Amino acid sequence: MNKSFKPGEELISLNEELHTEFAIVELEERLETDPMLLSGVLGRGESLMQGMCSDDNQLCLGAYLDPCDSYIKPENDGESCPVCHRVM
Amino acid sequence: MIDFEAIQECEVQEFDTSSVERKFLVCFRDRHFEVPPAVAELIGLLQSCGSREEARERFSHTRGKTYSDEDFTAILKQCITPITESINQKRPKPFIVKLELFSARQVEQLSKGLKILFAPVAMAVCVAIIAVSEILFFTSANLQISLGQLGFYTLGGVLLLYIASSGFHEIGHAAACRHYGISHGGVGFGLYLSFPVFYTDVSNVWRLPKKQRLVVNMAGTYFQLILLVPLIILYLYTYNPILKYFILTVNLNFLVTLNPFFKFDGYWMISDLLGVPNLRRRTNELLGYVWKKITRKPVQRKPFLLSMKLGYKIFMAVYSVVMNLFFIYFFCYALPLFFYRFFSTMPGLVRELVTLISAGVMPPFGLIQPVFVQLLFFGFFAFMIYRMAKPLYQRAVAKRSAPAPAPSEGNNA
Repeated sequence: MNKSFKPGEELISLNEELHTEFAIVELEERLETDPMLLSGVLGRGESLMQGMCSDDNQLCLGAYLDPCDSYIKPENDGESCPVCHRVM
Repeated sequence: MIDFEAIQECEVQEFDTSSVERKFLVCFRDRHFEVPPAVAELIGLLQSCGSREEARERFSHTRGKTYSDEDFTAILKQCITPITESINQKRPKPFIVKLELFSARQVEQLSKGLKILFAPVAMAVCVAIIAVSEILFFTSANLQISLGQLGFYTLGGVLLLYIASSGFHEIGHAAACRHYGISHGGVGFGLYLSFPVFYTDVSNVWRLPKKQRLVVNMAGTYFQLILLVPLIILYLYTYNPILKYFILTVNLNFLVTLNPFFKFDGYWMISDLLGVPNLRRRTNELLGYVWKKITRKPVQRKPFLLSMKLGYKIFMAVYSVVMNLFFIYFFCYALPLFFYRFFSTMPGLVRELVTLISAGVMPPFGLIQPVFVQLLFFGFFAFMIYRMAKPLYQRAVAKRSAPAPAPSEGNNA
């Protein structure tokens, strides 16, 4: 040991230094991600688009993504969905 | 043992963060490290010294302290070895599945030419055109769409347009890197949690100041908006519902991309706005720190948040709380709800599908679509849970199979 400090004191001092002055952090890998729009056409965008449906019986964006659920509603009782032709 | 050759490869520069303490960035091959000034100084010395002993003496001299050989070894082990040996260490996988589709060199062919779109004049003109076209689109079109039946070719064409649009988004990130004179990685496809995603490797962006990093983050959306301009013009002439559907969906997808909790573009934007690298880990670091304080356990490392300026500190604290609440919502509500709905609706849909097929009737698209989509996302979610649970299971097995500690003599007596 080159120092005149007691071993115990020196160790504590260095440990503190290691945690503060010599602490390094590896940075995360930066992958700029874009969720695939394909998921939108497959129906995941439905919840975002439901608000766009109007009260008339036209098919709307949300209705296209899940025609029966959006189109067949109480006021359309007995009418079939123009896309899948299912009747409520 | 110091690997002097590896140390020569390290590049050290100032790191732009919101910490009140000075930070440096060390780039070693494809790895990047945030280091304090003392470590940056030590790397500089090691690069200029011919031997470990010379480095120790000069380091002691510059810091005004005497470091023994043991001290110096401990310091090197703490802050130099993890850097030079990082290439032998596996890094956490950001995606469940990751597949590079185009190499950096292939992407470079496009990014080199398109970087001109980030020149100030070109950017001002493009942003103005984008703003005008978007305003014209949203003021001329009502949001209701009557698509009717879509033919196979039309649907295929729309899907190709989506893929092209996402690809152009990724090229945007790469071109922004080129504009600022840094290299970028390849473009690929991945499965992030349960989301199929396209990605661009822009890890070198850490070398840039915060503002430039932000431009790289927004570059994907900027490029997609540029791509929309001719489509909006075409729509304004034709009023084609499929074009309208496509333009609307791309615009809506920006909201998803800007989600700051999942690691989409929005996450990196918040990370750079706040000037907090490793944002996700540091939000958890704060909670861990608070927990240790409450339970009065020793705290070895001060959280990054405590070194931030006041305004950033408040923003970061709010973000940490909201982000954790969001993930509680996702894993404890949204995910179980999906599985509940899946198991309650799928048997009925499958029964209907089988009935139609066995009766010789072609099932309608409206029936095939929900079955296909739900099965697809069930697969994604199940795979995500499997990948998350696997290491926990392996850890538990390893713990159980580890030999029990030998009983001490005192116990035997």
